[in-house]
Amino acid sequence: MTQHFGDQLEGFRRQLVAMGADVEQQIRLAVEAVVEADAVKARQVISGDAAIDHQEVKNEEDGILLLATQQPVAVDLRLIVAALRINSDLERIADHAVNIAECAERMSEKRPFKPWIDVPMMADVARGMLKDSLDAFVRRDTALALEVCRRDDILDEKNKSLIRELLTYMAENPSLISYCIEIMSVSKNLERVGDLATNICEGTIYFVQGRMIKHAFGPKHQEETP
Amino acid sequence: MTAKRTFRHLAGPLVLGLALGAGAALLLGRALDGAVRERTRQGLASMLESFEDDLKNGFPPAPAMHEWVRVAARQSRARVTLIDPTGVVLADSDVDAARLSTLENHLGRPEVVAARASQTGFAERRSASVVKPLLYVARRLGPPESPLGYVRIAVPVSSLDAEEAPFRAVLTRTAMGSGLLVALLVFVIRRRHAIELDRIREGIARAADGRRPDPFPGGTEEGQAVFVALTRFADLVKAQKEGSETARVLARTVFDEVPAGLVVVDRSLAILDVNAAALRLFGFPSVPPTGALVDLVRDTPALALFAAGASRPTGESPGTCIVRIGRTGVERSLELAVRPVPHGERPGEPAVVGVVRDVTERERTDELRRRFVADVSHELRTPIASIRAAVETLASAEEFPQELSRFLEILERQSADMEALVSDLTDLSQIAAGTVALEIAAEPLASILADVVGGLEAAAKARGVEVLADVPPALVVRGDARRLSQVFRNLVDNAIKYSPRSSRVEVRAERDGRGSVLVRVVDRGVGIAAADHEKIFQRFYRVDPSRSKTTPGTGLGLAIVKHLLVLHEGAIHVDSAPGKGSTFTVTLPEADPSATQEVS
Repeated sequence: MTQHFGDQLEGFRRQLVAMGADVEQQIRLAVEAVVEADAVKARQVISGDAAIDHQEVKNEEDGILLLATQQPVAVDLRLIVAALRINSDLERIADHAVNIAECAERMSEKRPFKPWIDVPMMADVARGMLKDSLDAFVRRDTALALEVCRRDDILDEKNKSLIRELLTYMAENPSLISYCIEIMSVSKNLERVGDLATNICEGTIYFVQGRMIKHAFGPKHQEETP
Repeated sequence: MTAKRTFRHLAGPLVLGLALGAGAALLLGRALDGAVRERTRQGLASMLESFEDDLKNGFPPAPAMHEWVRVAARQSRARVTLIDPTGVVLADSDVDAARLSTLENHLGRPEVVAARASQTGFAERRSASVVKPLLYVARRLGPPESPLGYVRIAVPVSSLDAEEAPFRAVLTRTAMGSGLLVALLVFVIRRRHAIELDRIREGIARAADGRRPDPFPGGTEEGQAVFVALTRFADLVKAQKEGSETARVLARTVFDEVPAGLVVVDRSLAILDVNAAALRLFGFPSVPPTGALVDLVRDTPALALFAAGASRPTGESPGTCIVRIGRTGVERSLELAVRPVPHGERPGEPAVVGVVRDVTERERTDELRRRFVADVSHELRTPIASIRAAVETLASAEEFPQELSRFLEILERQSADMEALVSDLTDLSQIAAGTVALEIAAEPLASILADVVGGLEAAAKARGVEVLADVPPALVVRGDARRLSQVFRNLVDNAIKYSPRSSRVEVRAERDGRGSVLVRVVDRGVGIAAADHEKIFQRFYRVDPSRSKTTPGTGLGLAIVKHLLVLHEGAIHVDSAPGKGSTFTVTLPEADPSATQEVS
């Protein structure tokens, strides 16, 4: 019975990590679609979202079923609770990938008025955060998880400065407004991906250490060393 | 040997020995009994014979008769009885004369019945008159038809038993002693065998481990033979173990040290083994604690490939894919090839081996090369076209000095070659980039080949080469007519270029009977060495670099031919040897002939 539960739990965990792989792929494709102005890739991301939504529902059902039937305790309980949170975070990241892809589809008909610098850089940070947050979950590495949380500030700053920059373009040339709004949307979505990657890290720390560090970011984090 | 085993080995023989002893004692006792009785009977019978002499004239009168009986009884130390022919007891040494009348008639006594018939009769029974077991011997007096009477003698059986007793004791002791001796002997033999079997068992255990058995000193001859055999077996096992250990260490070393990453998983995609290179390539410091493949290779297409491999118990490869890891700019491309190994249903059994190589550099180089070729051919096209136009204009100018027209010819020829090269390069880069769109239709082969041969007639004539085409008009292939013309123009042009003067180039076509059409271009030219057969289809490969100056060509023709045929789902093959000429065989899918009318 115990072994059986162990198998079920590991299967559930693998399902979640595999979904993480799908979501990483979605974000990668969405950013490529923006930078390469590739509408085909953008549509690929949009059509791929249904499978991820489906997987999210399945993961949630499986997690709840495990909670209800096995009544797990301690680390097993924390794994399921964290996995359920990570599951919904991943689904929302996939939704942001779709948002980005939709922007890419609309932007694909126009030529960029300035070279892509900030968006690919932000995309790199966001994708790196997502990848590392999943790595931290897989390796139960709380130090990496905390490090990812700190990286979120870069994205926030970059987002703000990009918006300021775009505002000056828009003020100078109103014909760029619609295009700039798309870029802002991409930037905002990437910033949200970073926030959700931070949530995944919180889930990992809860699962490994049993500590809730939600809403406690800021200077306090600097002391958090494993 | 334990006490318990000793007891077990002893108990059996002991029971057997005692049983044997008891049985022997019983049998010997019976024999002794029989012998003593027989001897007593004989003694009594001969005594009766001596009495017969006294009585041959009939029984004496009553008082003397009683006296005779007592004397005879004393002499023979037995009971003596005289019986008249009618069975009436006349005198008895153990019965008073007064009580004789109370005795039963003795004519029916078994010994008397037997004596009447055959002179002497024996019986052993309980006496009715003296009430104890007696051994009787009776003898008839006189002839059988008119007996004078019977004389009978009897001894108590107890006296016989007393006589036997000392013998019987000796017999019993001897029998039991022999039984015990047998038991001891069996025990000793059994124990010796048990010890030898123990040694053999230990020897087998050691030999299975590859160690020689301890010698069996004092063992049987068979035991020694077993020892020799076991020693040889141990040596064999040892050699085998050392061999497999070497193989294991070798395999492990190769697995650990090979620069390609290797991941071995079972059918549930749990990692069974992974080498350092794979961990490095996937950016993991160590095997993920869960041992799940998904933790190591978090990439959807790669996982799908592994799953496909795991579901193929036959070991058929599902192919390869590219996994990109890391961030933009520092991203690396890993080529993952999945090789299933034949496996069963059990978890923990190797099912799939993933081979991972870092192909970042290769992809980067390929991309650079593609871009370079595409850019160069694009950038050269316009200036060459301008040069050619200028040369043509110059050539047609009337006032052009005649003595300079030689330079004009050089310009024309070289620019034509350059145009051909650029055109080939453009084709090749388009094919490599996958941007060549074929217009596939059912095309009559004969007309394509006739156009090609017709187009090259001038070139052939210039070299004095005859081109013969033998193509059945009914042959129809599936393909793009323009591209197929390009393929055959290349092949026939090559054949002409490499043919000696006044030789012949043949173009033949036929069905292969398996839904394909074979087109052969045969020349009797210089031929190609077997080592070059594959290389001639590579870009810029020239068989004989020294000839590249005398024989024009870009070295791209056959590469383009091969790529175009692959796009047509066809193939090309060469048969050739130096000095023997060459035969290029092109395979193309045949189209349904009835479809031609509609398409063309």
